[in-house]
Amino acid sequence: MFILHSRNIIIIIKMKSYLLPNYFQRIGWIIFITGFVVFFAGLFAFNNLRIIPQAYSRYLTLIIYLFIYLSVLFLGLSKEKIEDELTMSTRINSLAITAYISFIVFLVFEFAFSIAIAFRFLTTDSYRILGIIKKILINPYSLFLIYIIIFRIKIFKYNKGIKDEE
Amino acid sequence: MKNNIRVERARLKISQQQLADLTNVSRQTINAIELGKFIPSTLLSLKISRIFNLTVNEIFELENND
Repeated sequence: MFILHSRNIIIIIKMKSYLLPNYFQRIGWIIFITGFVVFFAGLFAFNNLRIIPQAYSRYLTLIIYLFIYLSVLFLGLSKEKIEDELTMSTRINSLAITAYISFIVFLVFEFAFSIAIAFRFLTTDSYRILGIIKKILINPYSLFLIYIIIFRIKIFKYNKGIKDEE
Repeated sequence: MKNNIRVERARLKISQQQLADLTNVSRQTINAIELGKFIPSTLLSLKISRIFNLTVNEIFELENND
């Protein structure tokens, strides 16, 4: 137990240097929200209003995607206001849970695919939808998002803990 | 692991926030330690013990299942 704990601290000290400053969190939220607003407004603009020529729309979507990806990176890898050993151990725990979730999702989808192929009880449509869901769930972006959600829930619980004290 | 930070805090009449400021951690961390949800590092334990003017062993204590 004690040996394991001291190893954790070494990891904590090493990890601290990888994190971005706290203000990246604010930048991350701003980009994340504007990215999504622009994304849905853009979908509407492309499909209904046709303001932006089709030729440019693909590049615009790419840029929006890039910004949303970046924002998730900022949100996941920036320091808290007070970065201490509790937040670091929370990060490690959240990362471990994310690893479990991603592995389970990966396994479930791999098996779902194998069974679907073996027994042929899926229509081509549902097969395609399954493929899209798999693509959405198993990519670095979603994993980061899962990590952020777990981390935020844990931090929220700690914050709620001190509110209950008052 | 047990600890009597809460008792010692009451003795010195300092709040969780004040102890957190003195040890350069968040109030959440002090609260989590007091509730036994989080085991502090050796460094933080030493800092806390220095503030209370006690040894680490006087504040933290092993339990049977540790």
